[in-house]
Amino acid sequence: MSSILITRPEHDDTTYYLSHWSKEIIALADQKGIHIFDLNREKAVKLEVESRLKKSYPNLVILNGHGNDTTVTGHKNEPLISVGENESLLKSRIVYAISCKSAKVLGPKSIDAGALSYTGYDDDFIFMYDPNKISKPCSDETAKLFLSHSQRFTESLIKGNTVKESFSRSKNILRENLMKSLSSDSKDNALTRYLWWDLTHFVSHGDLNAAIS
Amino acid sequence: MKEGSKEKFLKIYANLPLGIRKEIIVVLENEPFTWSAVYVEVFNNTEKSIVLLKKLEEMKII
Amino acid sequence: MKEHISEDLKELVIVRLETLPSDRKVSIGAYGEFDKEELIQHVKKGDEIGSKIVEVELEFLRALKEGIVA
Repeated sequence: MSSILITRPEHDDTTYYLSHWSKEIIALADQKGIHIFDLNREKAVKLEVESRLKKSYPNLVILNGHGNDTTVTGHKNEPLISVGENESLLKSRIVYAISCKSAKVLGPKSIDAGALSYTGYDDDFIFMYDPNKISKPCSDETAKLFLSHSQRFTESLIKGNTVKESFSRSKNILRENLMKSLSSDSKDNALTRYLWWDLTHFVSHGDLNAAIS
Repeated sequence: MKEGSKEKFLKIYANLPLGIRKEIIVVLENEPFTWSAVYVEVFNNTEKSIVLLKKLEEMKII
Repeated sequence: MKEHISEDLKELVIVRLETLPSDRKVSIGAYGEFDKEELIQHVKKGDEIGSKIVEVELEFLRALKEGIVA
């Protein structure tokens, strides 16, 4: 039976947004009878992540948080997975890291260590949001333009599609949002540069035919 | 055949989505110019257009 | 960002940032969250965050050469 590990720190605006935008995914997985190991807030720490990866064997690993080329972080920016330390724990998993830059080095290194696939960003992930919506991030229409593709990627995987199909669909959503922002009618022209940046830096490594079912 | 900066600009401009044409692309003597404003100068072959195109080339925007 | 940021480029980026909506913030990776004024200050300072902001603007502006809608 499939299972998912998801980390959801919430120690700043960014991680708070990522965490709340992941809630729909958790609900969908639950509907599909997929077990979710939800490491929210203070639980998004290395000890918990390593323990779940070693004992519970989730097929899909979703890492929300900050990071750099070689590391994905969790609660209060504690490193969770780092190159040369524990990337081998991702062996045989499909990984999605909504975490800056990790797809640049950690991604390929994880594949070398046996991860099935690693999707993420090979530079900083950037998004614009409305701080007046901080108490209800999922109703933030500005943030939606940057985060909806991410939601669709994981939803598509949960529904049994391959990484290739899921990645293609989510890139198309990001591209559509970019197109909307480019139009002369749009009030969102200012967002274009950041949407372009994310589209350019959203990458996938490893076996694109991998799927969780 | 080497393409001049005017030709480069016109090609790029023609392909720009409408929403982008009103964006500021260069500042000259503290005055901001959008893609469309530069286009007007280039279209009319003004002296200003020479300076504007030079700046755009230096910044590798064209 | 390896490219040297000329004063012309800085000036351009600042003027472009002035057109961002005042009631929005931008989250830039692990650097944090910034409003329009903060973004401008970082570009003026020329620090690491400022360099990243300039890099994002330039990548977009230079992509327009190739045609952003392909």
